[in-house]
This record gives sequence, C-alpha cells and structure tokens, in this order.
Amino acid sequence: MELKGLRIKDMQLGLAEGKFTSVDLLNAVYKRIDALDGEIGAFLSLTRESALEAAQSADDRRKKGVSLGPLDGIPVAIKDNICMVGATATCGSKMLEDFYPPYDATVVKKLKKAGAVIVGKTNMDEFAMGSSTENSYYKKTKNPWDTSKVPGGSSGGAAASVAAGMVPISFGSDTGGSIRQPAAFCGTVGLKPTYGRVSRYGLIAYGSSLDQIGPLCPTVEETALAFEAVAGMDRYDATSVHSALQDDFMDYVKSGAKGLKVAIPTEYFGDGLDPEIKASILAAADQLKALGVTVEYVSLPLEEAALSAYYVVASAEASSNLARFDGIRYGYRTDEFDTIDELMIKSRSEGFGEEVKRRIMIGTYALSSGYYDAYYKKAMQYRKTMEAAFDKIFEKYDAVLSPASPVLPFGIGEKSDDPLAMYLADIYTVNINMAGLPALAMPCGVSKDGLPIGMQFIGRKLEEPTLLRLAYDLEEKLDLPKTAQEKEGA
Amino acid sequence: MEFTKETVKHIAKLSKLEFEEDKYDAFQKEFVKIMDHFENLSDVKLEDVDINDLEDKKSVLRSDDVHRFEDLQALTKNVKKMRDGYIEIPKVVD
Repeated sequence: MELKGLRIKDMQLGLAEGKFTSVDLLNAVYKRIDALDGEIGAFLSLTRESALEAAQSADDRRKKGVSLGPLDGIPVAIKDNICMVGATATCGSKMLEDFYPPYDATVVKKLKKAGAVIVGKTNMDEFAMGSSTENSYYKKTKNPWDTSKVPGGSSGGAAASVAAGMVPISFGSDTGGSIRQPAAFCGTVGLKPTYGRVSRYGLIAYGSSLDQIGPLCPTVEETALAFEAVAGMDRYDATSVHSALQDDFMDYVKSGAKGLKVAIPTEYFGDGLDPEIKASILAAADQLKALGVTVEYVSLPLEEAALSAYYVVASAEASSNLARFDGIRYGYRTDEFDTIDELMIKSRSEGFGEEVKRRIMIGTYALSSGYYDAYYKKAMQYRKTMEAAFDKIFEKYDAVLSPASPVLPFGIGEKSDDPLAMYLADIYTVNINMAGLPALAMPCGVSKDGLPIGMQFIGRKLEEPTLLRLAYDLEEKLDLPKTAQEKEGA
Repeated sequence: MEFTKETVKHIAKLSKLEFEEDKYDAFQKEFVKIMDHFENLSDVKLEDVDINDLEDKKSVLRSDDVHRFEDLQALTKNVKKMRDGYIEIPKVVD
C-alpha cells in the first residue's frame, strides 16, 4: 500500500471499511520515510518495534469493534525533546546522545491512550535553540518544498515530516516560535497552545515559562484532533491550567468563522516584512471578510525591544535549566579529567553545541550580579506591558492576524554565521510566548518561487477553539496544497 | 558598558564552559553586538511596571498525595556506572 494524502478522516474510513489495517498504514508510513528521509532528514530515530505493536493492538481492537477515538491506529511523530520510554531523547544534542528517558511524557501517555501509533522522533535545533534546524548535532533537515532551503526551526524535523507526506500529525514544541515558524516555512498548520494548556511533563526544558508542546499537521482538522487528544490538566505539571476543552469542541471548530472579529496591527505590516508575504496575508484577510468575518486595522506596537526581552528571559531560563547537564548524573561525560570542576567544564564544553553555549553565556550574564536589574528585571517588566497590550486588543477582537515570519524560507547556511540576524527573524512569534497566548500558524499562499507562505492567528488565553474555527473556514476558502507532495501533484 | 574579553572569560567560568583562546575573541565581538542590541530595552519606559504585582493571578494547588514510581531499574538506566546496586561516580576528593 502507498500513502496517499494525510487526511485522518480518509485513513479512518479506509480502516473502518477494511480496505487496509493499521499495520498496513504503518508500513506505508515507513516505506515513505525510508524512501524520502535520506534526503529530507526529518527523523532522528524510528521506533519500528513499539509502533508495530501499537498498530497491531489497534487492529485487534478494531476487529472487536472497539475504538479509542479518531487517533486510534493513526501514525504520529514526536520531536526529540519529548520523552518516550524505549527511544532516545537526544534533544538534537551530543549531550544526550545515549539518553533513554525512564518515563513517558504526559503527551506521549495521552497519545498512547488515544491509540496513536508513535513512529519516531524528529530532528530539531539543539535543545530547541534555533530557527533553522541547522543547530542539530546530528544532521540538517531540508525543506521538502525546496531541499536547498531550511525547514525553519526548532521543530524543523516535525514540519518536514508532515510537509513530506510522512505523517499526519507531528508534535513539536514552541518557546519563541519553534512550531509556527517551521509550519510557515513548510506550508503546514501549527498550533502553539496557551501556556499551561498542554502538559510540559516530559518535555526537556529550555525556557520553562515559555515552552509549550503543540501539533504540526497538514490541515486544521488534524490539528484540532491532535490538540484535543493532548490538552488538559496534568498533576505532573505545576503550571498546568485547570480547564477542560468544551464538549462540542470539534463541532465548534467546524461551525464557520462568520461573526468573528479579527484585528490586523498596522505596525506588523511595515518595513522588514517580505512584500510577497504581506500581499499574501492581506489577500487572505479579504477572504476572511468574504466569510463574514469583521477585519479591522488596529495599532499594536512591534518593537525590537520585544526580541531583546524574549532573548533575555529565554536565555536566562536556559542557563538555569541546562545547569543540570554536569557530566555526573546522566548525559555526556568527558573521558579525561583530574578535578570535579574539570569534569563539569570539559563535559559541558564538549557536549553542548555553539548556539547552546552562546545562550547559556547570555543568560548567565543577564542573571549575574549587577546586571539583573538592567536585563532580566527590565525584560520581565516589558513582558507585563506586552500582555496588557494584547489584553486591550482582545477586549474588542477575537483574534489578531499577523505574519509568522518576516522572511520566506532561506537557504541552508545562509544565516548561520550571524546569530543576531537569526534572532531578529523571530520578531512576530516571541511576543506570543512572552504573553502566554495561543497562536495558530497556517499557510496562506505560495510565493513566486514556489515556497509556502504562512501567517498566524493569535488568540485570547484558552481560546484555541476560536483560532481553529477561523482557520478551518479560511483553509477551505483558500484551498492551498496541504503538503509539498500535493503541490507536485504526486 | 565595557564588554571585554575578560568579561567573556568570567561569564564562561560562571557557566562552567571553556573555549579555545581565539573563540573568546569571536564571542567578545558577537556579545558586544547582541548586548548593544539588548540596550533597546533601556529605551522603553518601564519604571512603573511592578513585576511582583500578581493581583489578577491565583495560585492553584493540587493535593499532595504520594504516587510510587515502580520501575526502579529504569531510574538508573542512564547512569554511567553501577556497582553492587550503587551509583559509581568519579572520585572528587583526594
């Protein structure tokens, strides 16, 4: 059997009608990965044995007429910073090359409970630090739309695995745009849920007050199904929100965008935004109007200070979080050393890559004595003003329409020498993590060079359903290719 | 603010990291650029913002009940060396 498209409803129909089994589906997924991943490099490891067992269990259940829900027997991939028993969680780092987590992340537990078949772990920038997946210790992932381009990052492997037509759901993590920017670069949908909506238990920490796990999928429907499966309160995550999704969630998502109000911040469409992206998003805004959505321009400052505040907070948290990698308890350990200090310094210096070291250094500096007020405190103050600015917009509007990235997918190696330039490209995504808001990235067009163009809807806290509802209706109206494979008509 | 090679070395020491000598120079140049950029935070008027004002937030606590983690073997799976059921670590005192 060949994998044709990635729509879960087609897969479920085929399974229900007995046209194929979950094992057939899994084999088709691996066949596609085996054929394409040598070039794309989306996966770091495949979990063939446990996946086969899960697929067989799904088939056994189906024979008995039992179903665990819409994800039962459906192949899913997860980013390599999410823990799962039986597979390494390398985080794209040499530091964790041989790290086998002793427990499943809550997200993994929930996916298994929903019957999903986890096929493997996807490539990422080391410790989720980066916007191109070029910072992985293991390999560079390529953009399935154009293999000379980066897939974005840090969930570049996740985005590529969906865009290359390998899996219908790939879970990533987003600390400053790491789901939405690769989704935009690879023409997939990507949802960064509200902070606290999806448990972070088992997600290897980068910036703990910013990190969120979320799905990347070919369409809004898969995104909604994936989100529904993993959202919810978790006793193992102290920042978990005590709030359940509404019972009629899927019906609500499909209930039409008519009557919703969307704000477009004028400042977000100024200089620095690629004109093709701007035109494509504004065209999508016109389509929204045609759907009966109120679209109005508002003022919402977009300041470079936001990026500074983000990089201060994220690096400060990273420098603390990554202090646990000392070469003693687990992870990489250097071969030769005389003193305990030498053991730690050498293990860390040899185990971490350049960008990780850079951020540990920035964070350590920002938190060091005498500089805390100048950097960290200011950044936290800025963070509060940002939240307030969004709150004010949301008094009148249901969502904000924004670019996801100011640039189209860039060439591999094109920006890797200039870290600051790479940081500046996160201008549209970092605010959302700082404010703890949900945001959904979706494709809105294709550039003249044939590259995907993405945009994002930003919503009120806990209002992912509203974002999905807007996106579901708009996606149908725009009717864009769902994967790079579909674009080629394959 | 002066950001010298010595500052970089001091930060590296605090971070428990070390670099090749020429890398310190490269880092110094990069850091000056990045930290200069971060200075734009100082241009924003933020004095009135109290980061400790949490009036609109409420703390939610869960009940503190014990859940046993049964798979003890899994816990030591990532340990480099075990001897007689104990974790063997490098000697750190003479």
